[in-house]
Amino acid sequence: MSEKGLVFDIKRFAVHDGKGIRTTVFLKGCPLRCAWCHNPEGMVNKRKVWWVQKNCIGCGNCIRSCSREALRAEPEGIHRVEERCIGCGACVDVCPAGAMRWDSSWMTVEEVMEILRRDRIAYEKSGGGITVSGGEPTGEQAGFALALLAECKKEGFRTSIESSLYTNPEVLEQFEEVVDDFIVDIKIFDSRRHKEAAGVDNQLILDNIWDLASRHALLIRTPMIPGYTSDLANIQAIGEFVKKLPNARMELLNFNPLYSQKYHYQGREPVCPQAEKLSNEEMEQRRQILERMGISVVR
Amino acid sequence: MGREKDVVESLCMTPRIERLKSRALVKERFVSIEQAKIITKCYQEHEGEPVEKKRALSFREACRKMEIAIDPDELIVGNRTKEPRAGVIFPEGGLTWVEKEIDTLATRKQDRFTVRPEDRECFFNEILEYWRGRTLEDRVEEEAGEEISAIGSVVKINQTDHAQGHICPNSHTWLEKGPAKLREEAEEKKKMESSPEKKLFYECVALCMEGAMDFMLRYADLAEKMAEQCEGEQKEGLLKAAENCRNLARRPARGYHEALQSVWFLFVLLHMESNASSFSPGRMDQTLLPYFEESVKEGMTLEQALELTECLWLKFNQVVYLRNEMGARYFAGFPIGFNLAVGGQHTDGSDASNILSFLFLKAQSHIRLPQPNLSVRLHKNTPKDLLRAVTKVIALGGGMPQIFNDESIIPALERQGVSHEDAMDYAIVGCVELTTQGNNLGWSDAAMFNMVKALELALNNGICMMTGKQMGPQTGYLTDFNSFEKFEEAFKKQVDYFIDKMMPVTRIVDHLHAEVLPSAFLSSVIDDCMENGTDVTAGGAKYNFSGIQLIQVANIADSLAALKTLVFDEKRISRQRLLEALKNDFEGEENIRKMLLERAPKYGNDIDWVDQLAVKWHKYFAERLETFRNVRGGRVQTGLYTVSAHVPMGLNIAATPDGRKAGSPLADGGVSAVYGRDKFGPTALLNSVSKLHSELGSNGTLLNMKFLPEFFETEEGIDNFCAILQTIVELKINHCQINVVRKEDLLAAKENPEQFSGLTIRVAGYTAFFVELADDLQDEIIARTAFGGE
Repeated sequence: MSEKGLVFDIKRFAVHDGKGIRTTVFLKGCPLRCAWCHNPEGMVNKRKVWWVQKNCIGCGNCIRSCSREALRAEPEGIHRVEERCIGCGACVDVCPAGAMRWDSSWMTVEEVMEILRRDRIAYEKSGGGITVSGGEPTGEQAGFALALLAECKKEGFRTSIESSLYTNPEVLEQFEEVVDDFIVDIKIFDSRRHKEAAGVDNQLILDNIWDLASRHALLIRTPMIPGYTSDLANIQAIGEFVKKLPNARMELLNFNPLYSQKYHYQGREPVCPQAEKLSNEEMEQRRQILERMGISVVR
Repeated sequence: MGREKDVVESLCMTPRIERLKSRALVKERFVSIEQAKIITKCYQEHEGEPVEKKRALSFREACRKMEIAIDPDELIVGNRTKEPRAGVIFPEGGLTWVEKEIDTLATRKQDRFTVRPEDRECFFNEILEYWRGRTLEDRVEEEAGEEISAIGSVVKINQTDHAQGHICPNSHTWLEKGPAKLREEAEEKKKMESSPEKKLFYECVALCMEGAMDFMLRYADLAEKMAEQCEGEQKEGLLKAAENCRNLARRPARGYHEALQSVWFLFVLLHMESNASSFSPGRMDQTLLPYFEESVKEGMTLEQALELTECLWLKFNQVVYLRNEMGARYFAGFPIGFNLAVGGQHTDGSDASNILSFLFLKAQSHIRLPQPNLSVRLHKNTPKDLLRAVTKVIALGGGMPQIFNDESIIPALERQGVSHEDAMDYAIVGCVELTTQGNNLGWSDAAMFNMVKALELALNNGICMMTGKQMGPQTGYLTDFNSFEKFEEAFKKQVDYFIDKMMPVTRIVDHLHAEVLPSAFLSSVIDDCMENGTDVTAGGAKYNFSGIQLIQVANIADSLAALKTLVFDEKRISRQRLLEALKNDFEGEENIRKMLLERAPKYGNDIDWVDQLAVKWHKYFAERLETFRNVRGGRVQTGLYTVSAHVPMGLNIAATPDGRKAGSPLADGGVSAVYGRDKFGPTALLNSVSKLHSELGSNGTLLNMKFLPEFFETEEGIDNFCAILQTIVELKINHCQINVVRKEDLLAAKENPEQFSGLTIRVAGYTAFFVELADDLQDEIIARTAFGGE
């Protein structure tokens, strides 16, 4: 298998992406454009350069190395002109401080597997395994994701995907062959609001969930984003849908204010206003709404 | 046992324990010269006697004369000084350093003690002069002082001004015989013996036992006297304590309460004889089980058993240890080393955990003070409920219990010539030093070898970059080597040079201990000494090792990896420029430093070729040491742990090719990654560590890990942590200890120490009060990588 995937992170010791201790592989490319996206580098399926301000020592090597004048020194740091960059990587090579870096790497299935195998003992002892996330595993890189997951099954690893399920049902069927546990998102139930916040309509997502739930146990997650998803009406509406599913649990993920750092690496401002985490009481209130509907909520 | 475990889990601290604990927290510590006066007088009165006898007589005298005290709430009594946590000045070890440092003891950076003016006066008028030239410190200085300072930048020779300690006595022998029976045996053997040296040995043992018996009887008298003034549960407790002391003075221990009291007397007496660090109780859940069962049959409840256990736990915190200033920096915050191991296996390989293992863990969760140094032995069949109980105690913070791994340690000990039976029964002394129980003078803290300093010398033709002095052989400058391999050759020569200089010195120091500090009382509880009539310091134990610590593989691997990639392979930095940058502590060369930090891979991230550099140099060092024998005929083993020496040792090292600034700390622990440089989580770190040959770390290895409290908040988190423990076992990593703490809390404690006086933290194989550590050590602990967050 020499096909390469564009991987933007491989997180070992992931303990929030399914049961046990896992390694999560993040693939680039996502059809959604959520305003609050916590992994913005996963949106576009293209290898890009990041500028990590805290590492930068202001030596100017990167600016001198750029043949396209895509980099400029400005008072707040290195400014990148996205349209000029041809992705040659000269700036990454000359940066002594690791401040200019690729946001992702092209890897073969075997190269990824070599890393996944390293934590075999921890998976076995904890009931964990491999999670493929994104971006969107069922999106532009679905072929690579399927090949990777098939290899994981061959090795005897338990597999899961974290997906928006905004994908063609036929593609989803192929994933069913190689995925043990599905972790899927319902971010906003109201279709219009969903389209506004995430850029796409949610009908396809809900249809896929409905269909998949008839054959698989699902963990359905809702991120708590103030101003977008965390209002009680949204929780209530999602609950009404989920409670009809035959075998689904829910988990509410609290907002993580640290997410904005990644936007700065990309030279962008975070779209979502600087919001606070929900308090424990607020989280608890929302969980109880779901539990009162008879839904099992992961704590 | 299932129901009993549930009962143990539900038990709370009794009001008595709460009262005792509230009085146990940090108070002002004082220097005590009481025993020094007794010893000096005794030596003067028996000037013509051999040193063995002077030592035994002065021990007996101390047992008879030292002032004693009992807290009316105590159920276990006894201490080595009237005031708890006193710093005992002990003349036979060394006074020259005390003379120099007595006026700074109250203000020094680490481990302060107040000196009362009258004690200071007495020290100069009545004690100091007699001992000139007689103490271990002065004898070492006379016989090896020059050699020790010549190699001092690379090698720290330990145990030069105090007794050795670091030993696990045979508690079975002590419990089953007690001082009366041991005295009787010594007298009998003395009668049968014809060799004058051996006769003397037995005579000394008998003298010590007389002291021990009298010591116990004095406590019995005092407790009875105090009982007259008390009422209710205090009166009852004091009368019981008195009865126990009286019984133990004449016969072996019976039942759990007496056994705990007996064990505590043993350790108090060992400290009084040696004034040394790290006398360790070992596998107390095994030793005390029969006594516990006997008492349960007679009606003792689990609640009573826990209260008694917790009384002992509190006693373990009453002994600290006065070291010289440098020693206090290397061993900061009193790692006194009452190392107590639970769990493990029986000789036949079956799991040995029992109800006492759980009871001790419960006591730990209540008391949460630096001592005992609680350890747990895990193996591939450790039951899940023990793993969970261990995890829940670790989750409380304080770093205990620390984890030891039967699967790697037992083979490591067997490889060093330990019998299978003894290896299966291993325990831990001090921090993380591995030992067999009751029969082994491991001398585990003979010296520390600063290999990072040797690397600095290899870069600079043997010349110290900090002082410009020629310290090692002239092996060329970095600019002279046109390949990485040639540089490694020079490095090897520096390492060899210092090993060859170090080993003869360790022999001299070891031998002087036998001359100056023979220890008859200790010898009576170390197997084969009584049988052979030979003192433990003279090689009387069944096993005789020496241990040298290699410091520090992470900095070595990171430095070599940076040299290999950036200087030799990719040639991004010229040799000349790097050498100058290192000499100038990266002054004006921040680019170079950043490149070394960010563009070279680091140990602890599961990158095979980098980790293999650590493996290679550890192996080289350990195999070199194995070619030597110590003066007691035993083998020399390698340890990979620093205690707190990574801070002072770092002070002495110039900037290094791993991007470390001059004078800053080395990596913590022993096999840990440099703080903050392990970026791929705990499993990657564990994989890196597991590549080191655990069998070549048979003196003990130390891995620090830090987790956030949030990780343990859910049942799933606890299960995941149990899985990490099982992974450590399967990866054959000898040791691991886990701090569970938030960075913010540590920063707050540094700002407002008075509000955090009870906060305990794992330093390195031991737990200390965070606020009692010097600033630079606090900062290093704050900088360690934390796992388990988002």
